[in-house]
Formats: sequence, structure tokens, C-alpha cells
Amino acid sequence: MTLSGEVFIFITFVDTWAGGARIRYMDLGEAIRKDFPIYGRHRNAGAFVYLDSAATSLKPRVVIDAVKEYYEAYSTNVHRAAYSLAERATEEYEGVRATVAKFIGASRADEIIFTRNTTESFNMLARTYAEHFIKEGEGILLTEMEHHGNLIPWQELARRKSITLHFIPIDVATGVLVWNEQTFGAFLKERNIKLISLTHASNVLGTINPIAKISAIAHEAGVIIAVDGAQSTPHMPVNVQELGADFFAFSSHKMLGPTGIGILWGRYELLEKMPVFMVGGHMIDDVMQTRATYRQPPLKFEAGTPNVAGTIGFGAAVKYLLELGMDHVRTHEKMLLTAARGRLAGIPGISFLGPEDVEDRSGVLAFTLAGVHPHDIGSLCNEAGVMIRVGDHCARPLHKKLGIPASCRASFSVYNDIDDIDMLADVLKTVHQKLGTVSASITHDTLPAGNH
Amino acid sequence: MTLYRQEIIERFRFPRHRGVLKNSHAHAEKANMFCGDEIALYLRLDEKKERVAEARFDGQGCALMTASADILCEAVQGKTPDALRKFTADDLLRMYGEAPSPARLKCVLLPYEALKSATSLL
Repeated sequence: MTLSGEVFIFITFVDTWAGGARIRYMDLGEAIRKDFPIYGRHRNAGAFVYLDSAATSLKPRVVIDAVKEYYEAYSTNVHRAAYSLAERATEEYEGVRATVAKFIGASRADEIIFTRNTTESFNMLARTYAEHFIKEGEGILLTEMEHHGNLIPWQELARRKSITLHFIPIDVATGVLVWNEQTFGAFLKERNIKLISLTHASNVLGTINPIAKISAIAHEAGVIIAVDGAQSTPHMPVNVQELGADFFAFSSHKMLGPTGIGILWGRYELLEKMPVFMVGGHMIDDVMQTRATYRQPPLKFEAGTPNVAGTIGFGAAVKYLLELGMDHVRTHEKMLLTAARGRLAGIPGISFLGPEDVEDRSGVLAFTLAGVHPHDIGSLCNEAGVMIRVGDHCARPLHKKLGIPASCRASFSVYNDIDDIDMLADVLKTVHQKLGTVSASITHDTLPAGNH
Repeated sequence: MTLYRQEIIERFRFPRHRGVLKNSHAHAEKANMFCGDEIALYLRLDEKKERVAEARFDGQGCALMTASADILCEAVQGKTPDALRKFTADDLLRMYGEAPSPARLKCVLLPYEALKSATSLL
């Protein structure tokens, strides 16, 4: 079975070569690390194998330079330009809306609201749209695979307003949502669902959810659909209009941009109807002693001096990704996923979480190793210079459903390559030798490689 | 520097003090919700109830927690309840050897939490 794993990889490479894909995508992976200064910093400090991009990604030079340029050359405030430098700051800052709109296929730049991160985007949505438009006794539909960022804001809203939360279950074996296209519309009406909020791609299972199918039925039933794009936007082409989303949230820091900047996109007519969130300076139209009027979206949702540097850095990250081409990124990550499943399948006791077919999953690969606690795996990987995430990945209800306290997760980005996967496989073999309790023969006799 | 020196690996794979004591005088269970580690600690006193005659642990956990529990069970054998009350987390860390990284300290100290609870029952 170990052998079949190796052969699997070999065939993958031959196929890729034969299709010419390897030549087309040579600009990604190892070749692109020169753009990421952190690799240079750790060149002489042993292995530097970063496989935790789903937690946060590394940053390319262009992003760091854009932030540095703002602070060094025009670090002035936005939206109050009486002088040229502030005009430049405002132009650069506001220009990011159009860049981001293009990146996610939004029709208007003023549909892009700057937040701190995906979690803040969902808090904003829960406190504004949902708080105002969803009434006591009505329902919100989530899924069992949600990150806490798209769960706790709804729990709090449900508690405040006596709204009922419902969950689309997952199939533990395959990691996909269990729902029925034929009966879904009736289900939404029966449960009085007014809003669906679900992840585009699971941060644990990798599962890419059928958003377009779900939203088509949701809209027929008059239900609004919000999508957590934190784990899809860094890994694949995204078009919010094709998805049929009404709201879409994601974070800069997971897609090569700075920390502290995120996006809530919403259809403009919905944003117009939404009450304000944080209030204060910047977002006001006129202010009297006892009341104020507010600006149009998106500015009415952005109180106080915003994260100007982070936003400008995010703009640089999005441009960088657009230049690479998100279809290239996706193809590269599918190659890595295929290689990882093949290489790791030979490790005794390993079980992968989530869908088997790379077409159905994004660039994260979570796994467990029988008899070895994920935290031991994380520590031993760290000692070998391999950085993976261990724990519940902010998805504790999902882990409870899967019947495991924690899991290990390797996640990929544009700078990862086969050498990273080789290193991970080598370390996991050592982990198994040191701490594993499952004998190789038992595992291989009972579990076919790549299929467990 | 490794968190997994040979002794730790051996105590994880072949713990000397794992088991359930049905005739224990004190028994405490602790869990770490964050990582799913669970430990049950059993203390049995000698006939005069003066000293720990036997200590055992059971449960599920990482290598550091398991090895620490094994070391702890060995350390408390022969100790009086008074000595157990004076036993500190630092005492356990000294016996454990290498200082665990901050993120893993709670693994090594979970058995100590169980000892404190069990001792309060003696």
C-alpha cells in the first residue's frame, strides 16, 4: 500500500507533465518563494515548512512594501483631504474597493464594506441586517461545519431575539452537507427560515459547499443567504453573483494581505436598508446635538479612522493574486492536495477528514493518526520545522460531531510545493515510529490507501 | 531540544502505573476541554492509612500528559497525605525534567490538577 501511494504520485506527475500543466504553473510553489521575505529570514535556520495558511498566510514583498510606502510616503488620514497627501491616501484606500469588487465579481465597488476580519463581518451582519429584519419565532439556518466566527454571532442573536437556529447536518464519512434539493424549499418555509449563513469552504473538512444550488432555492423561498468566504477566497476563483450570495465575508490575512482588515460584501439594496453598526466619526452625514444622519453605504458602516495601511496592503495582495490568476492557484493547490493524499496515505493509522475528490475540496487537508494525540503531532512537526495546525480549528461542534477532540490540519497556499509535502510525510512517519500504536500491517490490511 | 526524550516516549507507550484501583481511598477525574485530554487518578493508602501504597491513572491523552501522569504516580508512592498537600506543580515539573513549551504546560500539569482534587478527599 505504501508502494501504491508512491505510484499514485508518480502518475500524477506524469499526467501533469503530459498536459503541460507543470510548465504553465512553474511560477507557483517553490519558484514564488522569492516573493515572500519570510523564507529568506529562515533560510539558515533549518527547515521552514509552512503548512498553516488556513490560519493565516505568509505575506509577499509587494504587500509589505505597500504598507511601508503608506507609512513612509503618505501616512495621512482618509476622507478629509485639504491637501495632496491626504488625497493620495484617500484615492489609494478607496481604490481597494474596486480591486476587491473585481476579485469577487461584485458589480459595484460601493458594495464593499471594510471590517476587521470575517468574524467582525458576521457580527456586523447579525447586529444590523439580521437584528432588524429577522423577528421572534423566525429561523436562521447554519450548517454543522461552521467556524465559530459564523456561529457565535448567530447564537447571541438567537438568544437576544428568540430566533431559532437550525443546522444542515453533515455526513461524517464524506464530510459533505446532507440536504435534499427537492425538499429544501419546503423545509425552509416549514421552519420559517429567513436567513441562511454557511461557509463556502470548510476550514477543517475542506468541503466546498454547493452555494449556487442552495441560494437558488433560498431565493425562491424569499430567504437571504450569507456566505463565509474566509476559506474559499484564498484558494479558488470566487464570483459572488454566480454564487447567488446576498452577503459574502472574508479576511485579508488569509489571502496574503495584512491582518486587521476584512470584507463584508452585500447587495447594495440590502446595504441601503440596513441600520448602522458602529457609530461615531467618519460615517455621519450631518450631526446635531441630539441626533445625526448617516452617509450612504459603505461609509455608513465604517466608523472612525479605518485601517488605512492594512487596506492598502490588502489591495496589493488582491492585485498580486489577480496577477497569479486564481484559476492557477486552484490548479496548483489541487496538485498539492492530490500529492499530499497520495504521500500521506502510506502512513499507518492515518485518516483523512472531508471529501476524497479534490474537485470537492479546497486547499486544506485535516487528518488524525490513530493512537497519537494531535498536539503531540503538532509538537513533533514543530521540532522538525514543519508548521501545521492542531486542535479544533475554531470548529468545536464539528469535531464533536466527528467524535474527535482535535485534528491535525495541513493547509496550502501559492508558495507551497511538493517539498513541503515530502517533509510533512517524513515527519509523520517519524511520529508514527515514536508514538504510533497502530501496526503497519493492520492498517494496510483494513484500510485502502487514500480512501479512509 | 525535544519535548519527547526517550523516557517520555517510553512512559507514554508503556506506562508503569496505568490502571484502575477499585479499592482506592481517593479518586479524581480531570479533563482539558481544549484538547480532549482526560485523566482519572486513584490513590490507595496502606493499612494504617498513613502513606500512599499505590497510585494509578487511567484515561486518554497526549504523550506529555500520559508520561507526566506516570511520573506523578511513581512520585507520590510512599508519601503521607500531608506531604501530598505540600506537593507543588513545580515539584512535578522538576521530576518531569525538561520544561514543556508554554503551549504544552497544561498537558504536563493536568495530572497535578487531578492529584490536588484527590488529595482533598483524603
